Amino acid sequence: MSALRALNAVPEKIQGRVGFLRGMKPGLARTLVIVALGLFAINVANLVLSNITIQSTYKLAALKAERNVLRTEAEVVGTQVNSLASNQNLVDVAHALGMVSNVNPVFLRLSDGKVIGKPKRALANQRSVAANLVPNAAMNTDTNTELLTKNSEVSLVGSSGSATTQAGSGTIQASPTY
Amino acid sequence: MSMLPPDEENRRQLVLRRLTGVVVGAFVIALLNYQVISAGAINTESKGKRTVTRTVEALRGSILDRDGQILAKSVYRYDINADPSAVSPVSRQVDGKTVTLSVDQLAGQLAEVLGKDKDDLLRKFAGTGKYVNLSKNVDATIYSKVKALDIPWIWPDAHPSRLYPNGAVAGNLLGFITADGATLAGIERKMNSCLAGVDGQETYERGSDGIRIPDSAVVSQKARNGGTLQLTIDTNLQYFAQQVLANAVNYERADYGTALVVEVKTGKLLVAAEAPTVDPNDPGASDEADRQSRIFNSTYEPGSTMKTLTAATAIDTGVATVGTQVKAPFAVKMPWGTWIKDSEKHKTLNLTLAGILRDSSNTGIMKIGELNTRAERFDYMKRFGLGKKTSIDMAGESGGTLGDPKTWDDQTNYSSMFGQGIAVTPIQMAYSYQAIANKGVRLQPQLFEKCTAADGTVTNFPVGESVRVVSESTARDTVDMLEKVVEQGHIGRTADVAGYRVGGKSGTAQTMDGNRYGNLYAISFIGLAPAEDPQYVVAVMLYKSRRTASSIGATPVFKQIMQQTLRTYRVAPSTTKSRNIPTEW
Repeated sequence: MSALRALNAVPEKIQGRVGFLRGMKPGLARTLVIVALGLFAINVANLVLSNITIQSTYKLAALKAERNVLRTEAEVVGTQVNSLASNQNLVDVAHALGMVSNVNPVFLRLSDGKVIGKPKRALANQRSVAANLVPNAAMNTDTNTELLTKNSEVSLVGSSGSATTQAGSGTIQASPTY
Repeated sequence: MSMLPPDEENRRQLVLRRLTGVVVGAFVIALLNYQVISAGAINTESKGKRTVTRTVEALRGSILDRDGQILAKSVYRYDINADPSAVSPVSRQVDGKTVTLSVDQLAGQLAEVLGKDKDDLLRKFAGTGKYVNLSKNVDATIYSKVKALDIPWIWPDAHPSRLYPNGAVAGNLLGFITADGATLAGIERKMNSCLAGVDGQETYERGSDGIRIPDSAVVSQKARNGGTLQLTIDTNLQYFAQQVLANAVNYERADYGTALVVEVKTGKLLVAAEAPTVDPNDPGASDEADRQSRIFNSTYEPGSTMKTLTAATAIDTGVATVGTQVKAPFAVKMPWGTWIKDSEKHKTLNLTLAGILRDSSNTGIMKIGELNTRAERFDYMKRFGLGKKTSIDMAGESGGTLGDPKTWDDQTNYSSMFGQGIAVTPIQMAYSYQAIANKGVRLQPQLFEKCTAADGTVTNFPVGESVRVVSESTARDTVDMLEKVVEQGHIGRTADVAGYRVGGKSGTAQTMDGNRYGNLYAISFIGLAPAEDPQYVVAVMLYKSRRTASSIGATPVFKQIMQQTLRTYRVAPSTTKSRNIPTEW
């Protein structure tokens, strides 16, 4: 109620000071003043909102630019992951590590503990394919097999002295735990 | 205090007021013109200058294998362009100091990143135009390196492109698309309705600094990305098969080779390997003939792998059994004067039907085949899936050629019993053996698992109706006979897979050289395992092998792929023995 009273009082004070309001009916003068104040308030609010919007616009543009940069980075990394995960790279790595596929799988039947199949040591087959024969123009990254082999040698030497002679040949022979 | 007489002062004030009135009036008129009379036109012109309409490109969907491994996906590629009219040295801050790089230095940096010749770039920079292309379709790695150079008169144009992360793995199946998005072959073309997106369009306003004005965007058409297509193909097994096949094609100096792995009980195609192959990332690197899928598109005369179908037909129609006894000479002279011979000279053999398959005797199977009418055999060929396209209906697929049995000449009637005079596709032959392995029921080949639209809607592809080709007992008899081929056959033994019961049949077919048979053969082996309950069919064919003129060149490929398949899918080794059926009498 006091706010309403204050609002009623303000136009009367202004009416006394502003020339063209003098002589007007107090009610009309009050209405004009309120409308003028309202318009002013709307303009101020509009100005504030415009500023905020403009700021947000530039922020949005900056974020979009950042998103594009991140998207490009994600694409670069994704392409590298694709290359590293491609069959061609994995086979190269497997070969470099001396991995040999065992063509004599052996199964243990859990129900009766029976061993099905004849266990044999995995050996490099004469007809096995040593090189990659399936082209891949999308490969832009591959595993450094030389580094990988060296790292494996180090870890094998560290974990088991018996593996030293195997690692000395430059590649690792078939897994000792077949 | 004014020093002028009152009249003069009034006159001047009047002039001043009138002048002010004229000026204000002029302003008011101009204001009215701008705000009211010409407002519409000015607004339209202004909006036209700041309004931009752009196409929102929809991304093409991915192609996945059965385990979700990506075989094809959409990525962005970039064309790197320059504005020659703006070419100038660039200043940069390095360690707090301003360093100016000359155009020559910048060209050197760009040349290194783009893998281009520096002088070529400098020549392009020398123009006066606003645009010159420096490099097309570079990937994100190179693009980000170019961007890092921060040269203001270099700008990229991004556009969606296609990436096949595993290169030529299943390349012949996948097909490829051109730079402008046209689908030219394979699954990319066949399944375009699932994979293709729909480009959108939006219009928005931007300020003089290029920044988009908020809330000004009007989307006239929303972009809809393409769906994700899942295949039945097993990428790892496919790669293995392609490796082995490519090695064999090189070794045998064959024109080409195909290898298929079929899951017997579902009809799913796990492997469709070809060599030579095509890398869809770079289709131009392969000969045009190698860019198609020969498994679907190319026909060949199957040769002795057809004897299995002839034998099954005879058993199913009740005119023969696995033990039917036949005298099989080395050669038989036909009434019309030609000779039908076996591949190796031998005395007349007393063979059962199982023995005929074991020895792959042409003269023997001829005596079995003639127990059926040509119409009966033709009907069974159709039921086995020969003579018409598969339900996959791959782009450019062939239905093969069986001809009309009524118009077969006598030679074709007999030679069709051992796979000459008719033409089939590799996939047709693989699925005819799938029928035998699947208790006599042929399933339609299944290559597509599902299409998942961008909004998550899943569409499963209808699997065509299965066909009862032969009875279950006929199928079992046939599998038992095929097992004898691998157990006892001269060539069949080389297809043996340690630990498993395997059945199969070899084929060494003459091939055409112009309009007559030449000296080169299509060598093949189609087999199934484990024979006691077949799970997988592997079909291998090498066309026009130049090193080995018999199917012994194909069995190592079969063996390696079957071994890998059984190991991949953890099929337990066989614990039973094959049925004891006579092969001779």
